[in-house]
Amino acid sequence: MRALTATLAAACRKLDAEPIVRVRIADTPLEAPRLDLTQLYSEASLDTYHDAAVAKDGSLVRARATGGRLYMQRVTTPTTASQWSTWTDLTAATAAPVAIAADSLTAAVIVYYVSGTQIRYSESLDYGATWSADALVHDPGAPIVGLAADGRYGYQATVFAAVNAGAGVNYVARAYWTGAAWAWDPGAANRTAIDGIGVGRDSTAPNAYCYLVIADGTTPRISYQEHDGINWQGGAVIIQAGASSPYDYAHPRLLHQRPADSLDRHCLTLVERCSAPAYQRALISFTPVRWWLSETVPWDHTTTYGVVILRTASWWYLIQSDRAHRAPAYTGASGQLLDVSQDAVTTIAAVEQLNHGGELLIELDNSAGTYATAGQAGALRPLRTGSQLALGLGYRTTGVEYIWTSTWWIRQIGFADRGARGTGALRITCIDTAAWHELLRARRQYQWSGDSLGSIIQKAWWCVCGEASGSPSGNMALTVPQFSVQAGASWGAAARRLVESSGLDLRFTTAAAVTAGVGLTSVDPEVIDHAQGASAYSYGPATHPILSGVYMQSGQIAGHVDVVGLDLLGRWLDWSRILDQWRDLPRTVIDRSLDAQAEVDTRATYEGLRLQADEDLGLIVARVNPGLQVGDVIDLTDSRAGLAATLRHVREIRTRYNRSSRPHFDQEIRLGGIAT
Amino acid sequence: MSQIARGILRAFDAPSSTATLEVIGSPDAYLTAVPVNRGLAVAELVAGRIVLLILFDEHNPADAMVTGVF
Repeated sequence: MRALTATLAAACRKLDAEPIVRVRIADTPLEAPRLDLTQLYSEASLDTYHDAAVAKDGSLVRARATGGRLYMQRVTTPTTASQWSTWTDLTAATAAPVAIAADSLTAAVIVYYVSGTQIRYSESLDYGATWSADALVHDPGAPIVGLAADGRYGYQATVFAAVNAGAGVNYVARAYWTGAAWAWDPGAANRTAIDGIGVGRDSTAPNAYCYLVIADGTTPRISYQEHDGINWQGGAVIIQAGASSPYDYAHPRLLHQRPADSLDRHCLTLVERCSAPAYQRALISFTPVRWWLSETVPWDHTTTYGVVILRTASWWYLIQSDRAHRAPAYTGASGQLLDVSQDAVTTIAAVEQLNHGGELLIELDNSAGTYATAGQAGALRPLRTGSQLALGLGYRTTGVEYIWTSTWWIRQIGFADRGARGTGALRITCIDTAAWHELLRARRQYQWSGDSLGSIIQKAWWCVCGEASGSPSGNMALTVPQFSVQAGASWGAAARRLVESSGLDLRFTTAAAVTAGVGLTSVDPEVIDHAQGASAYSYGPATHPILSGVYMQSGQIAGHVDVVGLDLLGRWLDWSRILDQWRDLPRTVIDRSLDAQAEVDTRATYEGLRLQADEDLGLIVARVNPGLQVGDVIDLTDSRAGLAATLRHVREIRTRYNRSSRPHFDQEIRLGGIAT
Repeated sequence: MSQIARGILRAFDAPSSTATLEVIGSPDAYLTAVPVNRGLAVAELVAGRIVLLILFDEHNPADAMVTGVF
């Protein structure tokens, strides 16, 4: 349960406390930025090798290699289209990869390019306005198929190069400036068919690792490696196509950006190439872990050479060799964040369910046409599908006190016009995080081998909460041989399977630390024991009055669970139930990923406890408790029903607020049993 | 929950009687090491054939079987 202050807890228990309702809507729907892109320029199709970087003064420096020449560009005023289409012919260059690194501490910018089999560079000491004569970095004597430059951060300049030295002996090398000359570290010649590399670095730890993403492999893939300045480390496959599939991947790029808005995400872009149907398309992903790629957004302009994502203080830039777009970074400014005054909120009807999605309807008074431009450019822009909505509930105490309850996502906006009465309403229908998670589907098939349930669930839920660290529960330490999510399958369903097989429940709430109620880190996943533990809150005449109640006693009949693992049987028996009913009604669960006796025994216990608790044991209606969450264990006292601090768990909460002729501010709390 | 699905056979390993499959709907990523009905004619298990797949557990590809090829 979310914590209540003493004054708020006291107000919950009074029948005449004045309700407080807060509605805040942000145009940041997911745990990744929603790029509200505007095209800055485009030119006749000139898709070619290119790169871009942000110089320390904020100007954008671009390079592209075409027609045997290297062209440079510096954009100081991004809204001036002519700056994007004006190029400076710098020098001769092969049609091959180019890379730019901008020093975050000085005015230095370096461009690396290819001439024949040579890697060459030119340096600017004035943010890309003028360039030095070009010079040699290294000549590996073989074609160069990838370049990725690392910003210097006041240290040694570094460029990674992918060299095609022959089938099976391709390699990714590192060249770095020693202060007097370029050193060449060729690394291991153990790669095949390299088709581009990208490099990123954690901007909060500039002396730490370089993160490499590499398109290679006879079975096409994007792989990941780290370089600590001395050695190659780590390694993972980010995405891999099936052998002989029509898919291939190229030109990966990685940006790690951690600006002031606390967006702790890595931006990975790559080109997905498919022969049937034929297309070459950039995929863009914002991921909390550099080697996870489970949510991608396709870019709608064909490109062979990919897109560069850049971030300045105020803008996201998406740059192709022949076009550029930008979107404002989320700052909470007008047009991105909308606070709805309590006066405008006429109706709230919310349904939250344990382990299942919930729904919310909010009506705002639109009698004066206040919201006629909902969703359109301007202050009401956040009122559109996909925006995040925070709902705060509370009471007036010594001041205004409320708690951000769950986070909701807007599904639809509509208008109810009651012309005869001269009134109207804006209707906002929303779904909660669990329902949003249920809607998100796997774009492709995912298969993990030898991973723990706790690790897998983070890969399933990060797309709605961004959480990607630590084990959610000791119950989820079990490592399974295989776990897969089929293409088109729901991420929410996969997460539910993982928690339910671990004797747990999954719920989402607004992170207590996020005082604004919305934002990219606002959703907190909570994994809790199913229907177990001490009471978190009391309802009854001496505590929180129950306005009405229906109390059902347990009708559990079954008391027997068999779990069949890999040639193993785990059995759970509820003797009191079996002897009371004088029946043995087994429920069988088959899970052949369980391959040890202890695993089937533990799973049988989890299933048995769930069997005990998953009953509909009635409901109560009470004044709103803004701290209450589904999954909480509460106790009830009602002498007429013979209840004295009797434990129940909360299966569902229906919250109602209405300030019309029959005002409501109450919750219908549906009850379940307790696992003993 | 069990599922019945169509797949395209991409590779068959006779000694282990397992297959690499493209489950229809996931053209870029394949399911690997899926057990194959040992009664099926090996000569028919060639890449590109459509197969009938039963996933006894939709989240555990090892708990599945290729039951038919056509």
